[in-house]
Amino acid sequence: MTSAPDLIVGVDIGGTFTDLTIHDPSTGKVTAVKAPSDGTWPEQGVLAAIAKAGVDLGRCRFVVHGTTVATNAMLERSGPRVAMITTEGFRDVVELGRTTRLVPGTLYDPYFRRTPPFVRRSDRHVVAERMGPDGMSETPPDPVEIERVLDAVAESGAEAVAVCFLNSYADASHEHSVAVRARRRFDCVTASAEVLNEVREFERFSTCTVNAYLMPLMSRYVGRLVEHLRERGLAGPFYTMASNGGLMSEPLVRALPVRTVLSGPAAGISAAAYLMEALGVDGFVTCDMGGTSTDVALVADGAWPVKRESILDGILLKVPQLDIHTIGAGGGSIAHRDSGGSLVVGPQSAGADPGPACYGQGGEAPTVTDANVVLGRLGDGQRLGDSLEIDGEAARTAVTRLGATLGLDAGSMAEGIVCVAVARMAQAVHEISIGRGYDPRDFVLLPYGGAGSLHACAIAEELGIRRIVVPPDPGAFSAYGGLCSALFRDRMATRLRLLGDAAAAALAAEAAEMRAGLAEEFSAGGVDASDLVHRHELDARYLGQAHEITVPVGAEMDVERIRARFEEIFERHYGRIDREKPIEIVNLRVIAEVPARPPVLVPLARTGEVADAGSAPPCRPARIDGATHRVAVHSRNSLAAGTSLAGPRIIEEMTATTWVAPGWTVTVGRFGELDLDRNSKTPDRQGED
Amino acid sequence: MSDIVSAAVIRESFASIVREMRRAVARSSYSSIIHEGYDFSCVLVDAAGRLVAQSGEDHPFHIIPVVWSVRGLIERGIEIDEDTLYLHNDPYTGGTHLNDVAVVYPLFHAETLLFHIVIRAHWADIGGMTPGSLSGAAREILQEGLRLDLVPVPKSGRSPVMDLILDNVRVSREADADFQAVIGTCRVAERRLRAVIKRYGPVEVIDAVDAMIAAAERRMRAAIAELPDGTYRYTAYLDGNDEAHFPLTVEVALTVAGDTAEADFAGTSAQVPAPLNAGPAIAPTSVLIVLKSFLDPAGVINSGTFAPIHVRVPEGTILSAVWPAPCGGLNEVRFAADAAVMGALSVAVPERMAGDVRGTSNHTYIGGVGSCDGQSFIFYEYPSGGGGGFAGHDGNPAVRAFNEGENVSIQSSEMVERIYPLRVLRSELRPGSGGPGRHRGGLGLRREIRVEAPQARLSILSDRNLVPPYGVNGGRSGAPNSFHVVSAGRVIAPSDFPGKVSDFPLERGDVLVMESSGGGGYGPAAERTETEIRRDLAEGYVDEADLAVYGARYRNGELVREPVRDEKAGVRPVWLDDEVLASHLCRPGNRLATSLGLRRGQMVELAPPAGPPLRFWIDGFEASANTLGLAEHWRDRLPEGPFVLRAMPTGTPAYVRGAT
Repeated sequence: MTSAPDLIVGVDIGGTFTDLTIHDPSTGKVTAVKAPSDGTWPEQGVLAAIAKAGVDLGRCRFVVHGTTVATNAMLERSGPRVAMITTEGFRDVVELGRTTRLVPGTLYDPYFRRTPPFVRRSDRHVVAERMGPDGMSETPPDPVEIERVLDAVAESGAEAVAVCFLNSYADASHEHSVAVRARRRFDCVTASAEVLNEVREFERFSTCTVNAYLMPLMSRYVGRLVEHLRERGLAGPFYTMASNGGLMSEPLVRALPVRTVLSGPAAGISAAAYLMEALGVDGFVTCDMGGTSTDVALVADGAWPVKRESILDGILLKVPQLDIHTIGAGGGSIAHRDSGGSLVVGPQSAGADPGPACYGQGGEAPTVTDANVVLGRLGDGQRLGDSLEIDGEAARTAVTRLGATLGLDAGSMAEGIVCVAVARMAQAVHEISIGRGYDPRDFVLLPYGGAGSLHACAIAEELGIRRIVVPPDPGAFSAYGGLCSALFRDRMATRLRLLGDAAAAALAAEAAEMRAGLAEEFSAGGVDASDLVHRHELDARYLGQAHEITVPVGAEMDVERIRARFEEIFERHYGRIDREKPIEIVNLRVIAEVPARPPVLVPLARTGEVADAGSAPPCRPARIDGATHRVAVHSRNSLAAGTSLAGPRIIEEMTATTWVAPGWTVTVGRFGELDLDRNSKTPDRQGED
Repeated sequence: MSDIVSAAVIRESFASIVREMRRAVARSSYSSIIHEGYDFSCVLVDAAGRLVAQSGEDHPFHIIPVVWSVRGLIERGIEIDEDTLYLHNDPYTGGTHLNDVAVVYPLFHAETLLFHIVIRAHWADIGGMTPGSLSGAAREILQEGLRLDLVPVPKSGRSPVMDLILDNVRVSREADADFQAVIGTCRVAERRLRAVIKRYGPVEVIDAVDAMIAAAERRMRAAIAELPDGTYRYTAYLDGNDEAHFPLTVEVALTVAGDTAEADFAGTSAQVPAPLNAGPAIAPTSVLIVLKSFLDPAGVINSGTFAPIHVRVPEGTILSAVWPAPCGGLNEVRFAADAAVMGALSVAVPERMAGDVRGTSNHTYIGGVGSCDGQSFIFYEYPSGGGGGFAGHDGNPAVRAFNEGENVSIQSSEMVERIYPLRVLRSELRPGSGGPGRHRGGLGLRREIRVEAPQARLSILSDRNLVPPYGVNGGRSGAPNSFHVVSAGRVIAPSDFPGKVSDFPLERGDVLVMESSGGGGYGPAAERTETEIRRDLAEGYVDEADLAVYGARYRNGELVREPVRDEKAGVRPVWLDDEVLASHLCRPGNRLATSLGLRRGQMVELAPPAGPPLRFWIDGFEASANTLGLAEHWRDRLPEGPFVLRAMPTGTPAYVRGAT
């Protein structure tokens, strides 16, 4: 008897390793294997991992795949030559941009080099066409001219075509007619309103040209990978992680590869949301601290934070993306004394090679990780991952050397380095919280990544946060993300109109059309569209403002409820409302989601036991506020659910170390998570009233 | 916590506070110059009036004026009140132009003044004679709007004085909403600052401020100490206007001695009855920006950064104007000061420099009443120009330069068409505008706007329409800024003097053509590689007609190199015994004039192999050979030769005696 396909396979292709996770819902077991990534043929890393895991793809319900192929292609500019067809007079929109640099921290740099667009100027072809801002055709494109331009594109050797016409957000028919002609002759054609149906030509054209640039590459890569998987028996669907945390079907990835750019950190949020939902927490801050940087994100009311615009290496992308704030400070960040004599931590990083001094691979610069070694929070001789062992002496030498230049002993220097790194992370959390109108004290901190749980208590204390949840296997937490994600698609349209009964009726009708269209898309992709869950959003503003805020609304588009929700969100953002001004709707968006998500979390089997019972845990000296204490060191695997321990404690596992500071109590939760609570009498460090 | 660590942590807190302020202002403002143009700055100043923190994304030219605004409060002994904020925009006491209104929001702790939270934001209109307030035709400051010299207003922002101000500006509802947004942001900053003071204690916070300022000073001193000691001079020019039949000059002598720098602007033109003057805070700003950018662009900026820099500016000049000189075009003057300081620094360290940039804001306004809704509108843009070429790379196309701030200088064409009764016909690069050189200057842009309303009015305040951005180390100038109107197929100049336009009437169908300057080139154009020249041609950055200055041309489809014809090597400067000969004039020898085809009134460049060229206008000719006759003024001021003499393209007006 053959059982129904039930396994869920997640693949995450990183720069160094390809991670494969296999979830078996019948046993609740999650198996993880690693294989080296192949930069030229990324699918080879996947196949190697599959072979290593010995997984039978015939038993697979679906495969979820996260990839940096698109991001890397953008950063390394490894894509093919692409052409753009645009409105006469607007050939240089993608080169002019907003006439700004789009690279932070370059304000005073006279040697700054602006990132060139992905379509060179000679590949930007113009046609005499004009759509009015009201959506009325003024000069339709001339088919003869279009064919002549397509001839020129073919002759140039360009592999993909971006069709970008002015005002296509108001009416895309000109753009569409040219795209149709182009698709007869080229495999990879994309039109700006198909990628981003929104007003503002630079944002739309820029995103569309990036999409064109990525299409040939991603299409070939996904094609090869899926072919290999099918050959090995995969019958179920193949999904790719999008930058907004959702999953994309194979045809969608081929059409909109730009939506996979910067999808890396999305998996972590997806996993975090899943864990926190299981724990019944709907407001939390994630802090993914890796070697070179830390990603922080705030999830309020269970809603994922989405931003609509990001900049990668000076290129503007307007695609929905999880709003993750990156700070250039991580475990590998180097501490130094600048030419003015100030202590600075980051953004330079020791990276993985040579890495922090304590890796013993030749690094001599003191890093945040080295400081933690000096403080005893990481142990001399402790193993990190598979291959590394901490060299305490090397860490101490590096930290001592810097301390000498600043007049501090090694211990004070180490505390100082950690202090500055923590301050930077805490401030980033503060900025993203307050910037959106939330108080971080109302949130739970969820640290992950290799270095997150080491600094979580200090960050929480800075912010007045009283609860921390350290997920199982924090160093590999993101890999679970793909398994926890849902399939969703969205549609949007720019609809500039003032909020009122007529507008609401029109919006409700348009939303219904969009829902029907989305259901068709899902059905066409072989997905059962009968129980889709819909979310509706309006981007709206007071008339005269330029920036919109996103307002979740109901399908019925009730004017008063929209107004109330708008005012609530506006007031949270800006601390005021303006009843005199009319509210202008800018964009309507409908998101349809396939609700079923597989059960990935499995409660720990053992409860109540204390594995360390009988023998006292080992201790090591650790420095706390200038004094050295002996602190108990536990192996996380030995801690059963329900175990409760008072800080200070050190809890070690293969991918991370958790520092439980004095004043905190750690309890092992039912899914194996470490739940840290601030003792109620401990005063807040944070001064804000 | 040790002092050095708490200083570092408090420094990070301050940086975070100003970042948060910046985000809050940008997001909650109504006027597009704030939320799309980012024309504002958020800083923290201490009780002694020292700049403590700014975000690093703020407009560089606001930094020192912000400090002067606070210094005014202190120096005049104004009793600072805890419940009051102070408005300042007065150029003569440290402001920029009247549109930039600083809100100074004092913060007390335990009845002691500790900080001022300061936000300086550009108001879309501050009154005056034209919509938007900035006009090239202003003859006195009273025509440019309201002067606010530390006007007290309750922290609520509501008072009769505020009503008075709002009653005297256009688009006053927008102004009021933006003002409230600024106050709201000050309150956010106040809460965070109070949290820092509570957490670390006021004494520790003040100690940390001292440490941060001392560290920034040491850092700047170390950067200056790397320059060779000496005095370096340069003279930069502004176009002026039709009142002044001569270019306005900014002259600087930059003296480096050990780890200090002194800039003396003696010799700068007297103030003019045109909006081409600046207040006393502007020259120090120029010196700071240029030195910081070329010597140490990374790292924080606070009052310590300008401690080792001393600036002398004679009062009554265009760089330190007194009442009633209009200061709307302070940025035009500031760019000329930047060009002067860059030029002087080029003499000291030529290999580190870049070609000059746009040299103006290019303020362009179209105001009128829409045909459909009858609402008045003001369209405002200030198109960026090309960046200067530098060692190893061409200049950037039409992007904000290092001395300009990350302001969005052109609006989305689709938004323009949506909001205003205007159509955008063209928004493109301007081929051929980049200054030729071994490394070419970046291209300027060309934007064409058609009026759809029955009538509208055009005002422009721009400079470098006549005196183009210079190249360095043998590099050529970029194309100057240029504005014209096409009406019923005819090209019309909207003013007698280029770039200074006031209330020019436009009708439905008229097209405004804005062309911004290209950046100056770096190194001799003849040394540009054939690969680069071919690429420039293929991409349309340069036309075949522009090839001559590269010493190149196409023959039967082949690129061939040939000598550059429009310049002459081995030119010898001589001093003329002519007491009335102005310093910007010259008299070339007859043979030189014939071989280069020079005309009276034309502009020429006398270019040394390293550093920027000197510019002169031809007053007449001498009966000699390879000499260039100059005023006695230059005897001790010329850099080392040998010199090349270069004829500038035609079209420069006659800045010469008796010429018309």
